[in-house]
Amino acid sequence: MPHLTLDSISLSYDGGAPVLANVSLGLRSGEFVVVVGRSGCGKTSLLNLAAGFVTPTSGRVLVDDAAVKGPGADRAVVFQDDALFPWLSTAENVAFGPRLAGIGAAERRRIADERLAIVGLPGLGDRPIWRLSGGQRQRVGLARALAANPTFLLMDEPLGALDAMTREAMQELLLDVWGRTQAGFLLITHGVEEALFLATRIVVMAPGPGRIVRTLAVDFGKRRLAGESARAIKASADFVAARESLLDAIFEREAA
Amino acid sequence: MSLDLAEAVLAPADQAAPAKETTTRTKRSIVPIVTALTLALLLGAWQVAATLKLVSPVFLPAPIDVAHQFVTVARDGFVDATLLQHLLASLGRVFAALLAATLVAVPIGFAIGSSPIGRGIFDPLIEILRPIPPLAYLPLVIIWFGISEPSKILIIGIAMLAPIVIATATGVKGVATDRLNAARALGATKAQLLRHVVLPSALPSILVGIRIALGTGWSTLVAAELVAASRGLGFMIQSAAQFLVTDVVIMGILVIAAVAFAFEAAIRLLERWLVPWAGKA
Repeated sequence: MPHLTLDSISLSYDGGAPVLANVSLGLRSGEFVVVVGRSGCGKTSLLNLAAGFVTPTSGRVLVDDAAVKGPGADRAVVFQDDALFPWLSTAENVAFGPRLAGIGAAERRRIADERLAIVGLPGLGDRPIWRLSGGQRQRVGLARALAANPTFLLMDEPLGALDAMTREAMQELLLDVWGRTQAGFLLITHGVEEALFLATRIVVMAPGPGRIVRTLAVDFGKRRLAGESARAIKASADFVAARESLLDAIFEREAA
Repeated sequence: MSLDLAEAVLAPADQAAPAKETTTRTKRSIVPIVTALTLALLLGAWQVAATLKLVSPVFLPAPIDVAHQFVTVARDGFVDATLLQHLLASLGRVFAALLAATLVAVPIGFAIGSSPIGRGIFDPLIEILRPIPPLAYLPLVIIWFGISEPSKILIIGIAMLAPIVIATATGVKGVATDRLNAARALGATKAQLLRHVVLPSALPSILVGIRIALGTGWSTLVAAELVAASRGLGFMIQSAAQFLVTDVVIMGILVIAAVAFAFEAAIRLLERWLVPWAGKA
């Protein structure tokens, strides 16, 4: 089974104070790992390491025991500010990965239309992306990542800039997409409920230097996919209890 | 626009919004009327001054004479070429220079914007070249390259170089990191990054550079055509000035101004067509 491994990672930029100290984290296909933590705990650095955008000061980043040398299409990334290409149509944005891989126009269009349908934007392929709303653009960013058929999907606070209503709809969409694919999902977020609702495993990080302080397994997302309503899950006693214990973990040092 | 904004900010809070909007709109629609009146007034004053012979016609020919010269030169020509031939000669030089300058300046701009070595090499050269007025290097260009057609194109082209280089470098430096990373995570090679992400990202900025360069090049035209030209708007004006045919001089100046105006409008159209997304995403 494909696995992405961060092994005893330390990171500091240009010889400055360490951003991450001795962090180890694994991600297997079929998992939905959510990283939460306060600002400055190195969450985004962790994702940038996994994506290959930055190299660790010490430690190793591995995919299936092979060292990661840089970014690659096996690890697609969804960004907080969608990072779409405004000179391309919506469909061309989605099919950007296949285009780089040299796939022909007709096949690219088929891939784009299919992925757009998955993210709930059927028929919007010809729309210029600057005519899309913030939520729609984030969906296009997700569709673009999916079009690369990634083994791992890395998401850096993709819902952070959205309004509350859109965010809830997007959470359901992420669960739905996760249920359909074999890919391993890694999501960075500030949202405690978001983490509980989506994750199979939650990783809590703390700053100064960034490190992992707690890991907990949850199954609310699987319950949602099994048919239970989102509202019922979020109101259930075990969800509320899990939220309290997660908040405790995040603010552990203040509580102590 | 900025004045309107200031007024909107400074307007008393109790003023009704729709009423405020109406006043703003009225003020805005007044601008072209005021402009038209100003131009008409200037033209009228000019005609009156000429009719009453307040100034000798050698210094100030009547606007009607200038208009008449426009028709005459367009039909019969001046110094062995019609107005259209002069215009085409000048346009040919400016566009040849623009093509050459763009081919040289865009890669240099990419080098400055994307690599420290490129910046180290080209940045000081461009900064030295940029403030030198074309008339200053004109004699050197003549000594080095003679007085043939390429020399004229070179003079205009040098003046166009810096604006395009600087605008391109700014555009390349300004490419969002997330956009680059997004493409890299989709498997883009270095060459694909340049072709599919950096170039389109920088295109709006490059077009701004070309618009500025076209203005700079066009204003260098008269200097370039000082050098043994036999055709061109700048040459036509200088020949006319030597014979004190002032109405042709003024007519030539107005044609140069009109062409500059047309350039500006054309590039704006080009921008709307090529980079409709600029500033929107």
